[in-house]
Amino acid sequence: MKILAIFILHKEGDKKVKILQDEFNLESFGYFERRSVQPLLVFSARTVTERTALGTRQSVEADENANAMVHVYVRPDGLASVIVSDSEYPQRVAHTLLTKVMDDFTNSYPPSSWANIGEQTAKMASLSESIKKYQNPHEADPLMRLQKDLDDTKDILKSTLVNVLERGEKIDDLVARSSDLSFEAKAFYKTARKTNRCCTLF
Amino acid sequence: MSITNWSLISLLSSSIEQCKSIEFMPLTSTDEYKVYCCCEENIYLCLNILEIKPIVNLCYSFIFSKDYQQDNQLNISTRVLLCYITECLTSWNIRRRLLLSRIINIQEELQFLDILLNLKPKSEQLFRYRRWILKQEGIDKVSTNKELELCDRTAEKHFINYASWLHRRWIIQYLNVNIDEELERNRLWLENNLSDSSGYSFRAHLLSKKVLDENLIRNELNMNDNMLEFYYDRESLWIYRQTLIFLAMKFEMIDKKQLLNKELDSIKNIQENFFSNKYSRLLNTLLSSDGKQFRT
Repeated sequence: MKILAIFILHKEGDKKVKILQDEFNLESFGYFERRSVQPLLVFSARTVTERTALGTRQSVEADENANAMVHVYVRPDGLASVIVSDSEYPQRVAHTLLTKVMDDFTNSYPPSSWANIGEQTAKMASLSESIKKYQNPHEADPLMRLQKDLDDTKDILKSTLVNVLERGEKIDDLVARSSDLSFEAKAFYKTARKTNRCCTLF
Repeated sequence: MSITNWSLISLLSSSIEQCKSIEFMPLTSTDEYKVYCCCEENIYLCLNILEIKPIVNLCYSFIFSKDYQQDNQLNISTRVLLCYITECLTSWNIRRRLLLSRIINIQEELQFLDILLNLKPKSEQLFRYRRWILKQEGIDKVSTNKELELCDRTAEKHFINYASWLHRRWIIQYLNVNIDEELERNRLWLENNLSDSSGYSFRAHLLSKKVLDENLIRNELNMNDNMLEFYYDRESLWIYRQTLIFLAMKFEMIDKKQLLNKELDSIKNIQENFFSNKYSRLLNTLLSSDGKQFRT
């Protein structure tokens, strides 16, 4: 049970998404794997956020044979956050954390400043604390209990990456075109898919 | 089989010997030269996943050739081959022979296995060979904590890892590990891996080694309750609960009717789903047959 990454993003236009800040926990990966896994996480966070409408929550299964979930919440004001976790991690805690992270972010960076923050340059200190603390979801117990009856997190869309994509889009094409991914990361993705090693990837 | 080929295998072998971790990743070769591996900071080794076949073929040809049968040569060729294919029994048997004739050092071999187990956490041959070594080493030299930690790690790396849990069962029996301590360790492990049915099956195995009483079953059911409150959608929890009821049914002293009725009441508090429906059907069947049908 672990969180692999937390992202805070800003959805500016219909298709344009800017990552404001990110935090990773890649201890479970090997030294070489990390380099390819990290850009893949960035890629999936961006792809899923681009395809999530304002004001909606989603939990997206990354791949039919990958053991990872991408939880996303895009607020009506355009601020979005993404958590990539393994499928063991409780969905409700992930979504509670998404809300909390964005509230914290709005406190340290007011909405008017979002447009001027450069790609991956925001530095909110509490994000790295959060990713450490919430590795153990029992930490979130009080939060969990409080949220239990709130409608807010009740109807979370559950979906798969294939369904999130628009008509005619293919994940392999997206990977091939992405500028987030280096040549090595693309090769890694391809061989992982071919040898069905995705299941041990995330 | 040329000298250059042999020097390639020797080189790979010595890098494997030096490194602390091995990974398989795609590395790009050019027309001029082929990349077989890359090593960073002396301890991280990455083998090229795209060049597995030529290396494996080379190793096989050396292992079964007439000219490369000296002990140290076999040591080198089997070491490289086993990194790529851990299920090659012939090579493991060659290494068993080498270990017995003290060409291979026991401690070094255990370390080599550690690294390989990170790479292939579900390899049955690896665990089998490890158990053989531990037996050679003698019971008082085995580090219990190290073995248990290894089991934790491999079980976490690979979901429902039979080979790892089998090894753990063997360790518990062979080293006579305290069951209560092991139950506590298992509880902590399950907290983080609660969909892992193998972990629960191991827990039931531990319980069956203890003298069962009503309190023990009650405690386990309570623990399960706490988990179900948040994770009512995990099948492993429901299966474990069912196992607990069957354990209790076998136990003569428990008032079965009371227990089953209490169970039916308590799951009413949990949100209804496919698993809870299935479970309450089972309870009702048990109630109507007074448990006789399932008692053995």
